[in-house]
Parts: sequence; C-alpha cells; structure tokens
Amino acid sequence: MIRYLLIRVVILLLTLLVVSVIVFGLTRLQGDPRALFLSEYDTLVDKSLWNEWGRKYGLDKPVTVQYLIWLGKVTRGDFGDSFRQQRPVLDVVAEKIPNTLQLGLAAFAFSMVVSVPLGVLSAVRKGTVWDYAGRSLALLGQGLPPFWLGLVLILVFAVKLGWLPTSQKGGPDHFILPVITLGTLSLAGNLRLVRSSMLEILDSEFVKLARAKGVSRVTVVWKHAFRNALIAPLTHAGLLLVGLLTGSVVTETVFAWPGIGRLAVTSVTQNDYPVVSGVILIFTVLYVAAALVMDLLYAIIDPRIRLRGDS
Amino acid sequence: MEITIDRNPTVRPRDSYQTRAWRFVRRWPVVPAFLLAVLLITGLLAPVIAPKDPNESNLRARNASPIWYPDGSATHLLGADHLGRDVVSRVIYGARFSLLFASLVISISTVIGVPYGMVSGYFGGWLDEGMMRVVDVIFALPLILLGLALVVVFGQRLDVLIGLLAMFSWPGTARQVRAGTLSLKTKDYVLAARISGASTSRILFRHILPGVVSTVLVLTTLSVGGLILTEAILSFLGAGVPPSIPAWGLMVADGRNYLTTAWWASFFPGLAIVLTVTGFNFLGDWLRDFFDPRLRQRA
Repeated sequence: MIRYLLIRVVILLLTLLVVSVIVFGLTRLQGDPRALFLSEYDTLVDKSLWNEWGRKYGLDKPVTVQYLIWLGKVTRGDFGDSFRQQRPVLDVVAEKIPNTLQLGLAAFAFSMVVSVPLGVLSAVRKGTVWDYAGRSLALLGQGLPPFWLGLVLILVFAVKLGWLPTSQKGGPDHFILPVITLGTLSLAGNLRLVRSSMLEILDSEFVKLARAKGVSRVTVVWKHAFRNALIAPLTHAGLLLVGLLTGSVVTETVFAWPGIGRLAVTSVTQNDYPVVSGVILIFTVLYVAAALVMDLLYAIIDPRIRLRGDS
Repeated sequence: MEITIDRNPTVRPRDSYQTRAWRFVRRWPVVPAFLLAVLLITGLLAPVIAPKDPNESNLRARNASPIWYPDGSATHLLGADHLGRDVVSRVIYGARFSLLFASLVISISTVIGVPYGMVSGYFGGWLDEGMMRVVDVIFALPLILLGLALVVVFGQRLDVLIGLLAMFSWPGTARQVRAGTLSLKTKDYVLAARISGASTSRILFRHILPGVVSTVLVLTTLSVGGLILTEAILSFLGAGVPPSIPAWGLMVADGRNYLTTAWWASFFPGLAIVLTVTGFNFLGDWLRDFFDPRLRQRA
C-alpha cells in the first residue's frame, strides 16, 4: 500500500509540475512581457528602461531561472496581480471559491442521490421498466451537452413557466437549475458504473452462496452486494470530480454564477492571463488533493489494494 | 424394435410481425445506425442538401420563426438566428464540421496511441512503467481550463484545438491497446511466432495488431461522442473553433442571448449534438458487447 500511494503521490506531483510548466510556458509564448508595456522607442533604441525593468522583474535572467523564481512565488500563493482588477489574483479567486464549492457539492449530492439507488434498482430488477429507465437516463445523460441542457431548462422553467429564476446566485431556488445542469453528466456516468458493478457482484459466487444459504434478498442486495459494488464507482470519483470541475466552468457561464469557472471564462475574454493561470493552478491543486484523498479511501476500503501493494 | 415417427411434429408458430421487428431492434443497433447514417449523409452532402449558405446573413430575416409558427415561412424551415442565418443550413454544415473534426482528431490519436500502447505493453518493465505514468499525468490535466489558457495566447485557432484534443485522446487509446497487448503477448500463437524467430516488429504488427483492432474500433466509436461534446463545450465558452466556422457549440452560444425571442437558434444545434453524441455512445456500447459477448450480460 505504501508503494501504491507513493506512486500516486509522484504522479500527482508530476501533474502539478507539468501544469505549472505549461502555464508558465504559455506566458512566455506571448513574448517578453516588457514588450506589452513599453514603447518601441524603449524596446529598440534607448534600452535603459528595458534593462531596468529586466532587473526589476527578473526578466534578464535565463528562462529556466525565471521559471524557478515564478514557481517559488506560486507555491507561496503569489500568483501576481490581475491586469483587469489591479489586485492579487489569489484574492480575486479566493472570494469566488465558496460559490463554486457550494454548487459543486450540491451537484455531487444530487447526482449521488439519484444515481446510486437507480443504479442498484436497475441491476436488481434487470429487464424491467426500472432497468430501461435507468439505462435510458444513463445513455441520454452522457450525450447531453451541459450548456444546452442549462439553456433548455432556463427556457422551459424560467422563461415559459416562470417557476424558477434564470440566473445568478440567490435563495435556494437559484440552486435548482444549475445543480441539475451540473449534476446530470456525472449522474449518468455514475449510474452506469453502479449498475454494471452491481450486476457483476450479483453474479459472483459469494452472492450465490449467500442466496443458497437462504439469506433474505434484502440482506443479499444491500449487505453482500451493494458494499462491494460501491468500490468501482468510488475509484471513478476522481473522474467524477473532473467532470464537475469542467462542468462548473460551463454551468457557471450559463447561469451567471459568480464562481471560479465563470471567472476563468470572463478573464479569457478580458485577456487577463494572470487570473486564468491562477485559476488553472488552483483548480489543479484542488483536483490533485481530491484525487489523493480518493486513492487513500480506495486503499482503505478495498483490502485487495492494501495488501497487494501495487496498482 | 419399432421406431415411431411423429408424422406431425409440432411446429412453433411463426412469431408475429411485431415480435420479430422488436427482436430485430433489440438485437441490432437500428436507432443509432439510422441517426449516424443521417449524420454521415448530411455531413458529406452538406453543400447539396443545405438550402442556403450557412454564413449568409440576411438582416431582414433576423430571428425569423420556424415554419410551424404563424409568421414562419418555408424559406427558413427551422427559423433563422440573430443575423438572419438559416438554422437548418447551419445545423447541416455543423454535421460536416463535427465529422471532419472528429475524424482528424481520432486519426492523430490512433496513430500515436496504438504504437505507444503496443510498445508499452509488449516490452513491459521500466519502459512500460514510465510510459504509463506519462499517460496518467495527461489524464490528470484539466483539459477545458488548458483550452481557455491556450485561447488567451493563440486566439481561436482550429489547429490548436485539434492538437489539444488529440493530445488528450491518445492516452485513452494507448491504455486500452496496452491492456490488449498484455493479454495477447502470452498467447501460444505469439510465443510460437517468437520461437520460430519472427522479429519484434513482425510480432507486433502481424500478430498483436490484428488482435487489438476490435478494441480500437470500440474505443474510437465511444470517443467520438466525447470529442464532439468537448469541442462543443470549448466552442460554447469561446475557446474553441473560430467564429467563421459553422460549429454546433458556437451556434448554441450565439443564440443564447436571444433565447426569449428566437429559442430555435440555440435549441436545434444543441439537439443535433445530443443525437450525434448519444448515437455514437449507443453504437460504441453495442460494438463492445458484440466483440465481447461476456459483457453483454452487464452492459
């Protein structure tokens, strides 16, 4: 298990490193930042200001050194200042994080509450109406573009029927449409996983033995099968997180939700690269931390991983 | 000993037409095949089928209603968008773009992913370990956010978008091909080829490759849906294809601000995405069961 976790930690650190190199590399692909702010006279003829800025911001050093300095700042939470808002990126992003987390957790809860029972039901009552309902929902949910689903929900429930607000944050009713929009994709994926792993477990020898012994159906399904069937969906919770992460960018854009996803999109249109890179780095750290927790949980839940010691 | 022959064996009555039709529909992927055939034909024949130029704007037809509205007309079957561009024609050209886009990305990811997976699985050891860690790292990168960063630097460019999606889709192929190679390389016929002195490249291409073709086919079909969806999401966010290209994601984004007056401009391109993606996912599932009947029980 130690070896397994070590490998995972190394991969996740590598991921962070790769993301940081890409983000830094993209800033330098835009050219020397001095060229954006200084006039052609300063850039080409009288180089005194150019060189002064170079010393001041460390731009006269080799790119690798610049990268390491930048990395040092970033690990201490200094992502630079937003071009647009003229204040530290960390402050700009930090004030949006709670909104994204609220929406994400609500969507996670929604997709779990629907997908787990329906997945189990679909597997246990295979071939019945429940099964068809579950499978259709899974198939359709995976093909629905979240941005379009959001717009159709707004069109029907906010514009035509007028039951729910169209956008922005507010009371509990403001959560309903964004949560459905964000949760549907992960709901569908999870539903499929719960169903297929439940079917697999129900077909296994120990479940047959339990049935043969005369254990009641309810006990077999919930005690023997269900607990084991949860392992596969749990391992994919990392993927589910990625889904919610990418989904939040779209959902927040559609519903004008004041979260980090929308911040990233508006910063793109405003060419506010420090904010975009800050959001990417913070998202990646969040994702990596969550993935690590999932790996740990997985190792704790499944003794086969704990004992085998290798992925 | 006397043998009695039943001269009137009970013949099972022929099933009714409905029963046979239902059985056919359940056995073969009729619905997705039909959807994808429509997609393919409209995509290939877009210039012939589309009633209008997808980028031709007509300010007098701004937000024109579809034909079934009292004020609608046959000139714009599904209405027109806020620039007076014909929605039907744009959706049809969108099919052409989606197909072209998906096939380009998939060609690149197959060309990289298949050899990568075969080499990783066949040689094993530290090489395999290292190669698979690279794949793990790519899987953990935030695709949509990197797309947003790229668009700040490069602007909306098709080549950047194709490169980005190819970079994120080949690791999936590589992983599946590696798994297939791992199980094939210990098969007797591969060992026999090795003993008889076949070169490594011959073993890989003549003996292993044909065995992983079905895996690649299933994976490719399943990934088309995801690719089209991701491209549409990026385009919707303004980080995808350039505005001059009739892409479904862009159309939904364009029509978004006119939802109350011209819902059709956003709705129909989105519906096209749903049908296409669902069609490919359905077909992919079916192909997987077809090639691996053991899974049919579950999937």
